[in-house]
Amino acid sequence: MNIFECMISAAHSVLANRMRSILTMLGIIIGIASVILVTSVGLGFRNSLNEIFSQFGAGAMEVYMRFDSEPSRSDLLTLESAEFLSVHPNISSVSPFSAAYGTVTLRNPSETANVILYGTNQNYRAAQNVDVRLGRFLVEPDIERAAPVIVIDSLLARQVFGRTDVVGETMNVSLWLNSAEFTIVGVFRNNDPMAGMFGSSSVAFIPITCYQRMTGEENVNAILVVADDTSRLNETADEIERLLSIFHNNEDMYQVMTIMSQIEIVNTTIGLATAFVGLVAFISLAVGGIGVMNIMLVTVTERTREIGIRKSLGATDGNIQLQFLIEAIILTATGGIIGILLGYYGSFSIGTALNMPPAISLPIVIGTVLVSCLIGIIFGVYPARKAAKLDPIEALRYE
Amino acid sequence: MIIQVENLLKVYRTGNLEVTALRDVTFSVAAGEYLAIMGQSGSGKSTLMNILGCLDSVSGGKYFLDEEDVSLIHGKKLAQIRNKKIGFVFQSYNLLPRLNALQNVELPMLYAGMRGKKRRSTELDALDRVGLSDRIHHKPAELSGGQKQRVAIARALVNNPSILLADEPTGNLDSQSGDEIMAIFSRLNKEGVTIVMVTHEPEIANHTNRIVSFKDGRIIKDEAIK
Repeated sequence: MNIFECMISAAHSVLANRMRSILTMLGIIIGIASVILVTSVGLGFRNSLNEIFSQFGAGAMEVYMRFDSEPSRSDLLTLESAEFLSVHPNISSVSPFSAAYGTVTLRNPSETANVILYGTNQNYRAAQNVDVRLGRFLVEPDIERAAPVIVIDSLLARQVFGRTDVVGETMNVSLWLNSAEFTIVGVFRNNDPMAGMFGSSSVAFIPITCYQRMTGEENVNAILVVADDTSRLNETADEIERLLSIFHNNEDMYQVMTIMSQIEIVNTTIGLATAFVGLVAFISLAVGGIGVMNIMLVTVTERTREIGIRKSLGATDGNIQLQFLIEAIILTATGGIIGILLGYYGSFSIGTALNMPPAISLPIVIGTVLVSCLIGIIFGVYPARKAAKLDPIEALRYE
Repeated sequence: MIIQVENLLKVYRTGNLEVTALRDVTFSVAAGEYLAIMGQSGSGKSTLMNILGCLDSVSGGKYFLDEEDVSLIHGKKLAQIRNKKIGFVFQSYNLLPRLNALQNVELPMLYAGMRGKKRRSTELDALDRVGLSDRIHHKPAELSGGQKQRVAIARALVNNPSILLADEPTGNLDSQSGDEIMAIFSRLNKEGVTIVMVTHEPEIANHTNRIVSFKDGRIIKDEAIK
């Protein structure tokens, strides 16, 4: 009896007990589907975040107050501290920035929309690769004069005007308790892959000086710095910290994050989370495997007489063992394939809902197929050996 | 000689208890013979059947099948002997309920490793020999007792065994179906098939050419009747 004939015969047995086979597979299906789902959503999330980070150049760094610091007024980052950093020879551009939710009035004046307002300077565009499609970005005179000009993303343009060629139009922007008329000078494409993920996340840029005037703040949230020589990134980061300590006359207040270290932190966090949930999913897979073993043992007992008949017709122990092993593998492999399809479908649904394409990894798909076959072998061997070892005379007498 | 049994001994041990099922059994069967093994239940005839069918091992003595000492053979080789040299017909048919007549008849050939095309023609041929050509796609549940037993006979024949072993083949059948089965056996024997049949019914045994009678694990009579 060759392998092919064994497989056909095993498939018949599996189909003969359809309901039981499906229930047995369920454990494997759920296990495999969750492994696929967790890993592909996790990988997709990581890719999306990496894409955001990749908009920054490799030399980009962010300077902000330490989370655990208790700064006094004189410790806060300001336009002057940003100016002070620009003397460093390895720093090519400095963009101090602050951000907060503001509101804009829509076409129907009783309706408003939220927008993330960035107050920054002309250097921000190059540092963050802002993709200006129409008009221009902020320029130096805007900052100096605190001009009421705004660069908005195309989402917001469509929301407010229903079109994107809106350079020269004005719009009313409220920030904190103040509001003002702004002239639109540029429209950019928001290539944040997470845009729209948590409700509206339209983004607009105004001069930092304007921002400070509206909020009454004298400080800035953070400073975006771009270094020329990326090989000296860590040294430059240390030196920035030291410069700020000198400028503000206070140590251990500031923190410099290179983009690389941020990517690393995010990747490590997501990787750990994915691995952990993956492990839980894997445990459920093992539980599914035990379910398969359980059912195979029941099947062997139920089919004792069949085993006796087959042996009397000349089946060797090996034939019987192979027959039951293949049945177990068919159960787990079919369950695995269904699980992959479900996991694939599920991760696309989640990815679509979160606007975050999942990354289905081929090695993981191949790996899970192999694992589900392996589970069939591991948990099928014992019942199959038990079947093969049955004494034919006693098996034939079994009722 | 197809079968040659010399001083056969079979002892069963259950715990401390020893039961001697067969003692000092010596007889032989020549090619083309048709014989019945008779005896009350517990006389040892079923044990002998299992040993002749290579399902059980001997405790002492020799058993030659086709001049080969099978009392020394175990495991895979013994399974191959069952497959190629022995055809079983059981009282309770022992067909696999999920398979149709054709698939049931196919099983011994699958285990013999025969190729698909040859299997198909042999199957149809065997079912034709027992007069079941019109029932080949029926499952056992859709067949009468006599038809089931005919499928079993076809299955026993497909590998051209040296010997056909029948264990109370008419035990579960009404007299008409039983007669039909006996007619098939007689015809097969005329065609050259060697048949050993176990029975406790004298009328059935009378269809054969020789009766070997057992009592308490020994042969008490061995006589030709035709």
